[in-house]
Amino acid sequence: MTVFLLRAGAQHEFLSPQGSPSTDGWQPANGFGDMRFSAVWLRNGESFAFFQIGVEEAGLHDFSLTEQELRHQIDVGIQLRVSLDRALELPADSVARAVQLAELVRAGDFIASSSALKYLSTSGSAAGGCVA
Amino acid sequence: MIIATLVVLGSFDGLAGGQEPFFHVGICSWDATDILVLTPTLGKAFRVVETIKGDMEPGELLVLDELAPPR
Repeated sequence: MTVFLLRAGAQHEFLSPQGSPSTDGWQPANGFGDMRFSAVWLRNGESFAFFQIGVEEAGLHDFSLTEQELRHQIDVGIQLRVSLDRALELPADSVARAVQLAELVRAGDFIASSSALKYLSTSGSAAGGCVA
Repeated sequence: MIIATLVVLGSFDGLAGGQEPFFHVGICSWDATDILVLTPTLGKAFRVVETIKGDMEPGELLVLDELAPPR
C-alpha cells in the first residue's frame, strides 16, 4: 500500500481544506480528512483506490494504473512540487522567481500550473511578461 | 487564461468542502509531505517498506487506524 500523508501541522498547498491544519499526528494528503482516499493498494502490479462510482457508497476499485505508471505519476508530482518550492524560496518580487513560476505554469500539469499561477499573480511587476 | 485557471482552481478548492471525497494521485503527490510504501504487521501498525518522499526510514512503524485491516 502506498500512502500520501501530511505531517502534523503541515499545510496543504493545492487544496484548501476547511479548518486549521491538525497538529495531531499524520493527516491524509487529500484534504478530505479521510485516510482511505489518500492511499493506493497494490496487488500483482495493479493498483486499487477508494472512490465512488455512481450513487453507490465509495469503495475500493481498480485504479487502472500499473504500479510503474503510478510511480511515474508520483515522481512527476514530486519533481514539480520541488520546482515550486525552489521558486518560492526566491524573493517574492524577483524576476528569477517569476520566471521559474512561469515555467511551471507552462509545464503542462494542471496542479503545478494552477499553484504557480496563484503565486505569480502576487509577484507584482516582476511577473510582467513572464506568462504569454 | 489567468481568469480561467483561477476559476477552475477555485472549483478544486471547493472539493475539500462539499463534494464526495475521491483519490487523485496528482493532488496527493503534490500536497503530501510523506509518501510511503507500507505493509501491514500482525498488530495495528504498518511497517515502512520504502520512502518515496519524506524522511521516515524503512522498518519504522506507524499507526493509521483508518487503514488498519479489520480483525
